[in-house]
Amino acid sequence: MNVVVAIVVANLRRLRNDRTSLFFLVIVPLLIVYALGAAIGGATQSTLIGVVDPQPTSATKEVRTALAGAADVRLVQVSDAGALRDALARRELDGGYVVTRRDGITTFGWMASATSPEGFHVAQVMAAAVTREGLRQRAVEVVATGRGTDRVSAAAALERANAEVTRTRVRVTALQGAGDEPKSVTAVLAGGQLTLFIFLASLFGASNVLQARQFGVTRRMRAGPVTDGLIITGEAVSRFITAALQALIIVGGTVALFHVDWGSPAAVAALSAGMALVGTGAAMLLGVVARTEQQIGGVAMGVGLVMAALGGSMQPLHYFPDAIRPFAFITPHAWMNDALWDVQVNGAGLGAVWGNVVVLGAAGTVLLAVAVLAMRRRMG
Amino acid sequence: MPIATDVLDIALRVEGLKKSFGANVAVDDVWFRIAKGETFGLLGPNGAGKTTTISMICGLIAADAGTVDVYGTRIAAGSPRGRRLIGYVPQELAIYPDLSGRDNLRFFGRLYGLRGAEAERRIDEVLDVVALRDRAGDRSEEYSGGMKRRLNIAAGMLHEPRLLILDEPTVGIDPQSRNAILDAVAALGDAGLSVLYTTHYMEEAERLCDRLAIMDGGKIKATGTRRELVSMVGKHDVVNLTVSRAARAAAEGLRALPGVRSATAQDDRTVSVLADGAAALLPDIIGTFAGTPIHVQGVEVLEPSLDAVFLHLTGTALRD
Repeated sequence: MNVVVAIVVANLRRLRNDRTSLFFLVIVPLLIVYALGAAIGGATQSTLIGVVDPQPTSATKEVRTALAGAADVRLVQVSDAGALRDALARRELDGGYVVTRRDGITTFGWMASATSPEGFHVAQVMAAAVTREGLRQRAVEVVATGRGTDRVSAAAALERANAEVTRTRVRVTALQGAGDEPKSVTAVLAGGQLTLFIFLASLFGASNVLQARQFGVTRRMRAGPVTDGLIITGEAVSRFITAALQALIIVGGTVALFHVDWGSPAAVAALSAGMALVGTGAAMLLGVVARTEQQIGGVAMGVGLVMAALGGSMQPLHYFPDAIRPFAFITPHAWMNDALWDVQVNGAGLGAVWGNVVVLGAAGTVLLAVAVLAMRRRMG
Repeated sequence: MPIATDVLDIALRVEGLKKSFGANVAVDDVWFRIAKGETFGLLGPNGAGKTTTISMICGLIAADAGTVDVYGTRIAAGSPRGRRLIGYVPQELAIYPDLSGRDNLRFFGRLYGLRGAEAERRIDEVLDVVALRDRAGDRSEEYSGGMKRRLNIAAGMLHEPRLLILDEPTVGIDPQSRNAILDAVAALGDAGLSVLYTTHYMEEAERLCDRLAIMDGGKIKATGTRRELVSMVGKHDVVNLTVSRAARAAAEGLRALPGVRSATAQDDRTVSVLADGAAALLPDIIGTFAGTPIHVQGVEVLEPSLDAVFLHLTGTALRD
């Protein structure tokens, strides 16, 4: 046990002395979360919706009122469809709609960026409002036809009837925080970055495994009252602690600085531990196989970023095309990000994501086993 | 020479060690003993098999055959048994450059179970021995080459081993640092620590070691005190000749001279001659080249030394 503690303490002291590593471990992840959150939209920003409705009618006003009533939505009048498209392209707006009339049919044309969660959310609210207004107009039509009266009288009669039965009316509201939409864009982005950086920090930590060998420290340790198993355990525990530290910094930092709501702490902790185990196995394997630190840097950056992109750390898996999404689950990142979405968006607890935790744990164990075999072979 | 009889009076017993790497026989049937409190030198050129021998003694690699016992405890690769008795100072630096000298020693001390006040006391003691206490808080990457070597040695003796093994600890450092290291090792030997010291520097072996083994080509050629080894050469002197050209042809010519026991070309212009009564023979040696295109440009007559022993045993001179 002394040996494992000695190796872990030495590795943590080395980490403390390495200001570049500390910068990438502490500052960079938080900066990226902040920058992405600020660029795409955070929890505290209003969702800006452009409206092109040159000749408003009672129906279009109803939809507008329904949208304006949705939390954090601000409506902006836009002159025409072209101007709306430009504003969306410049990301000045999160979404917008164009009202057109043809042959007595009113159409609400929705426009938004494919990757805008806010736009998607507002589109749902708008669809509900349009449906409700459509139903109201059909009811007016039915009353006018049935009673043989004009539409104004029929609408008035319907309003009176509505007033009497308001106690049972269905209210359409956005299901923020309880359905499929994120509480905050920053939270989802932070989740992706958590996955990315746990893995990336681990891979870069492979340098420590290589250096212990190159500096001759491993050889010297092996001349002491130390088994190879204890040396390998010490290095593996060091990698795991570094990965866990990275998780703690991102979760703690985003809570403290950006008030990100991560959801169930137990679920996030278990998922982070699973991902840290994956990173530990990958780092140990890379540290044994690599011959130079340059190799480790190249592989860490290449593999780390490609797996992060494929695994949904740069764009939520929910926005992946259906054809691509299954392939994402080749990566451990996808299992982590998928579960984090459930935890952050749907309020899932550890019980709902334990399967993902098991997959991560199994992947990490396999990687670690291969790394240990490779290390033992090299030492022998 | 200490004569060891009791098993606990023998610090190290090496019997029949063999190790091959493929077709290359690195160590071939090596036997020697080191008595308690003795400083023993393993002298040989690069590639003689010294480091491989030490690696087997420390249990870093498994021997193909033979045994190693330290104070009666069998040392085997893969088993930590008996390792606490050994302090190993490898030929290459084995320290973390991004840790301070003190943090490096804390790390290595902890591997041997040293903690807290006891560890700090030992760290201060070894830092004093290697004269690094005032720089202990600096990162070792900021040390000079000699200081790094001294820290390397300090790490090996931190846990108070009963046998200290130093594998060419002075390679590639300045004379001042080398002297400091040799003084430190001599002090450890004087204090009663058993030391196995490998080197290919003749003067280090002569200065430090109670007994020596001369190793070449994976074999121990001879073992004994300096006096015993030198007596193997008898009253022969070594004459080093610097010639203008064709040292190999010059050596051949000299071998025919009465009184010359051996003559070897060390390079294109140097010939080493082992001769009986070199001073008297010198005119004949120089006269050999009269009327030839080879001119003698320098003559150096050496008293019997380990150099002569090495030349006598292996037919080549021991060099850096």
